[in-house]
Amino acid sequence: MGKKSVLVVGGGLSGINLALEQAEAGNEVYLVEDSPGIGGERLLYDKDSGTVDFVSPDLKKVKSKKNISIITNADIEKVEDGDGKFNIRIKKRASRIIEEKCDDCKACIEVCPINLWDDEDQGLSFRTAIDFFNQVDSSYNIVKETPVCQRSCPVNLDIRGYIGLIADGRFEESLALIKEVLPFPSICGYVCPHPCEDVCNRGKVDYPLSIRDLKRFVADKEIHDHTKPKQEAVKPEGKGELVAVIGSGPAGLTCAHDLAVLGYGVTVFEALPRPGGMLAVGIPDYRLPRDILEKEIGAVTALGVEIKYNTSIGKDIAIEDLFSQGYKAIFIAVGAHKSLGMRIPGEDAEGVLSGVTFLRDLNLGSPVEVGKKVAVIGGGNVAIDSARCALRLGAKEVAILYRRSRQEMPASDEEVEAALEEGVNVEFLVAPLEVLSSDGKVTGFKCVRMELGKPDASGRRSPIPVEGSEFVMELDTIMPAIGQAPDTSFIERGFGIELTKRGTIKVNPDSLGTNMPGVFAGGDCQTGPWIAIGAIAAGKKAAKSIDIYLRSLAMQ
Amino acid sequence: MVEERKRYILEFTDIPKERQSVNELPVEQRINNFNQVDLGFAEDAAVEEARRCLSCRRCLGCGLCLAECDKDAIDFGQADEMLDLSVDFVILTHGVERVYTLPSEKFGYGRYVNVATDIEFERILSDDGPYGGMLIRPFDGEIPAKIGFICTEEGGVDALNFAIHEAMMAKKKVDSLEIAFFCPDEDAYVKELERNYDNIPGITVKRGVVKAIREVQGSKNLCLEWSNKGDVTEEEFNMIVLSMRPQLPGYIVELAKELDIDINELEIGALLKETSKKGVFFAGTM
Repeated sequence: MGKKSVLVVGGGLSGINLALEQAEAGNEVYLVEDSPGIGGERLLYDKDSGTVDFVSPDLKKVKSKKNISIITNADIEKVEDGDGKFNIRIKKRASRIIEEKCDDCKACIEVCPINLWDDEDQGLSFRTAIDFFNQVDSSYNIVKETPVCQRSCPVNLDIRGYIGLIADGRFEESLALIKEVLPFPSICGYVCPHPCEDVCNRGKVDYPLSIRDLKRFVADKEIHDHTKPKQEAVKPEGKGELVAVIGSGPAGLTCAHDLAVLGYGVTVFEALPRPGGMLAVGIPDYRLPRDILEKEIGAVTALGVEIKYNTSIGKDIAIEDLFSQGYKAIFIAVGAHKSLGMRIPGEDAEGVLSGVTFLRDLNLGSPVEVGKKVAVIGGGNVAIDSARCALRLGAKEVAILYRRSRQEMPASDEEVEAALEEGVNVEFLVAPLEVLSSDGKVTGFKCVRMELGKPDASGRRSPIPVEGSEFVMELDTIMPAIGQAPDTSFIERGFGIELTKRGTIKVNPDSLGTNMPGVFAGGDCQTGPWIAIGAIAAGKKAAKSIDIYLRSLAMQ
Repeated sequence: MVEERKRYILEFTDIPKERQSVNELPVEQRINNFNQVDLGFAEDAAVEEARRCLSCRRCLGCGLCLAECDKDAIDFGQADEMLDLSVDFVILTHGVERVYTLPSEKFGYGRYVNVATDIEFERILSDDGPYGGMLIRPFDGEIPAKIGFICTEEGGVDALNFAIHEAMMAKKKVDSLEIAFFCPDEDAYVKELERNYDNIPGITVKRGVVKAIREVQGSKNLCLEWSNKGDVTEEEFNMIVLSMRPQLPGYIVELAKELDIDINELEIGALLKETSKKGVFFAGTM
């Protein structure tokens, strides 16, 4: 029997003793611990000597053993079992202390201004941001993990950093810090549903920070004060390779921006006459002014990105022709613009207009007509936007019908608040049964009241109709806004890109690559309807993957 | 205040409290136009709002330690490392982290400062603990004369052993200490206590059910009410220690799942044994 290798997970007392046992037997031992140091503090009874005392693990011995490698601060990322061996990938988190140089003088602890309760001491004392983990072990660790807000942000924006700069009045530097990651600070400052504010620790004291509005403040300031951006957009040197981006929404434009910065030639194909995707045709002007959108998209085209409008892939150009036209890679970011139907009788009557179509027509300047009495069906931001727009167009009564309660409503809280303030009537726990019409025109809506039952797969309580509670609403316009799906008809026509069961584009989540080499996809068309910052994150990821793909292509 | 990763965050009094509000277009001016509704922050409001950030009280990168360290042992730029290993065996153990189920509310843990868990008490007794090994009550520094140990049902008989050793250790530190053990009127508990009984002079064992604990105003002592076969008795203690049920840290459970091991196999306290997965062992002792 030759030497074996053993992984011991857990650097507590029993882990240390087992590691020593294995090492004495001549095996190669890896002792892995999640905490910054090994040790463990449990009191034990030493049965052999009959004395009562703390039985401390023999740290000196375990550290001096040549065939024991101690890996602390470690996450086990992957375990694979193959050919009688276990293949293990371990991430050792940076402790920010160079162990060989540290002489355990504690000077750093004395000067650290941060004060937190000591979790190692079960919260009975204080410690600094320097984790002096275990006095016996003397392992130091500077707690510098990513703050919760940054972790919740799909693009991992350094929120604490740019907010700190605002607090110091350093507005330009703050914006420059945002722009290092985010090409559209203004747009996000206006419309981001701010997942960061939901997790903000300040919310546990009183209210979370207004992170989005702070971002908007520095972005607005550049526009209003006409200050020059810290970093002037420089047109990068061309690399020659061309990339086609399908769709000029947040995903597509971010990808185009990042690739242009890297020096690639990018053409964006846009089916509509305006750039911006859902930002342009889904979000009303009172939430995102047109000049803000145009200014930030202008910064992308200034990098040399060309946008071809009114060019629908699959209609005006076949997707497979893009390769023969010289494009080396394709990023599909067509969004999710196809409205889902209510699947109830009478749906095709005149006066039924999906929320997405209504908002698109309105934003593109096409003539839209709303009646006097409008009902919007759904609980998301599209429903709220549609209702608030209908009100602005002169509708006298606007109601939102939602089949669950306020708690389950996916729309952001402040949007719902604003809608209520403006006089939108939100009816909770109501579901449509049938569209009533005469001469093909909508006259009303047959609805039923609902009650909440047990939680479903999504964790939300599913609504159940209340028997005998049917009622009729008199209406002249009905706007379903109950969800969207990507329009993938251009793919279904035979290009061979795999779709998921949900009708979204199937990708490798690590690279966003589809089953076709050189074709990537991201944003709403891959995730289903989600938030702009999520699409921006996808655009960034795709740009990275496309860069790697094109460089590996060039090497062959 | 505790954040997600169970680290405490302190409040500072020099940061503004109120959330600053943004300017908004009045509701009556919103009809028949699509003018911007949210008008954003004014400059002074933005600065005030930004000052509300708690920075989450982690390292801010201020660099004071860096300047202080003459050994140049601090490296802010240090990156995470990835290591790939290939091993023949995997042994899962409990690790350093201590996780336990919270005790029943009637014991007042979290409400009364002198009700501690056995793990907290171990920290208090420990030389590298918060009080340098001195047996004092949390926060007010009094030396307890009378401590009640409660063997909770959550903790079970397994946790009893640990509490007994803590009691012995405490007696070693304060000779005159009076200790009472409250345990359910069940043979398993009593047997376990009797086995160690001789080692702890000055300990009394009380069988029965702890009904409630209330804090005595001023002294912050604890009045414990327990019943044995219908007889209800009250007694005052300087401190109460609760025995808890230890649990496996989440990452060990996750790892076991990834290795296709039924988590029911991972029994706390179990000695080293091979799991149903060949080559993977588990040791449940602390």
